[in-house]
Amino acid sequence: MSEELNKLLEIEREAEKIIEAAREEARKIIEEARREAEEAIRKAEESRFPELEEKVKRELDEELSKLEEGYKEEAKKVYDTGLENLDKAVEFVVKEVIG
Amino acid sequence: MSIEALKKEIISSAEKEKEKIISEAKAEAQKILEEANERALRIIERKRAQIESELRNRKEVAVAVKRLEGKRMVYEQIMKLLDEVREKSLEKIRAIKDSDEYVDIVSRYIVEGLKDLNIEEAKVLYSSSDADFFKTNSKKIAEQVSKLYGKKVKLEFLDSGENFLGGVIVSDVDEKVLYVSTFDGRLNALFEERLDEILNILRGGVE
Repeated sequence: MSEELNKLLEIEREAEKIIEAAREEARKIIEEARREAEEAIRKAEESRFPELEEKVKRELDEELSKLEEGYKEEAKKVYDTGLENLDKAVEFVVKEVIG
Repeated sequence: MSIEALKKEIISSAEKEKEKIISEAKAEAQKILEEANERALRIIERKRAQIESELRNRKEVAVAVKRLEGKRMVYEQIMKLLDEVREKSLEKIRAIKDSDEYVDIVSRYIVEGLKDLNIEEAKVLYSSSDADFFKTNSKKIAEQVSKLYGKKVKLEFLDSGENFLGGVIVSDVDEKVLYVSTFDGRLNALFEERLDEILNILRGGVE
C-alpha cells in the first residue's frame, strides 16, 4: 500500500513538473511578446521621414526659385519701364516745382 | 484502476493542462503584439502628421520671407528710380536758376504768397546763395509781381541767412506768417504728397 502511495505521489510530482514547465514556457512566450511590443513602439517613436522631408525640400526649393525669378523679372520690368518714362517723370516734377 | 492506468490518466491530464496554458499564453502574446502594432501605427501616423505640419509651416514661412525679399527687390528698384528722378529734376532746376526764367518763377511764387497771406506789403526772404541774383533782379521782380498781382505791392528783399536750392519765403512785415515756396520745400512736398502721380508716370501711366 505504501509503495503504491509513493508511486502515486511520484506521478503527481511528474504531472506538476509538466504544468510548471508549461507555465515557465508561457511566461517566456508572453515576456518575448512584450519585448517585441516595446521594440515596435520604440521604433515607431523614433521613426523619421527623410523621404518626406526631402520631397518637401525639393518642392520648396523649386517654389522659392520660381518666386525669386518672378520677382527679379518684375523688378527688372519696373526699372526698365521707369527708365523709359524717367524723362516724363522729371518733366512733371520740374513743372510742378517751378509752378 | 491500476497504478499504470492512473499514471497515464494523470500525465494525460497534465499534458492537456500544459497545452491549454501554452495556447492561452500564445493567444495573449498575439494580443499584446497586435495591440502594440496598432499603437505603433498610430504613433507613426501622428508623427508623420506632425512632421507634415511642421514642414508645411516651415514652407509657409520660407515662402513669406521670399515674397518679402522679392517685394523689397522691386521696391529698391522703385527707390532707385525715384532717386534718379529727384537727381535729374534737381539738375534741371539748377539749370533753370541760371536762366532768365528764374525771374518769372520767383515772381509767380511771390504772387502766390501774397495771395495766400492776403497782403500787399511783404518781406521776401531768399537763399544766401541767391544773394547776387536778388541784388541784380529785385527791382525787376517787384515790377513783375505788381503786374501779375494787379496792384502795386511793396516788397522788401532780405537774405534769409540760410542756404536752400532756390525760391523764396514770403512773410508779412511782422514776420508772423510765412508762405514757404522754396524749391526744396516744393520738391519735398511733391515727393511726399504726390508720389503716386510720379510713380504712375514711371509705370507708363498718364499724368
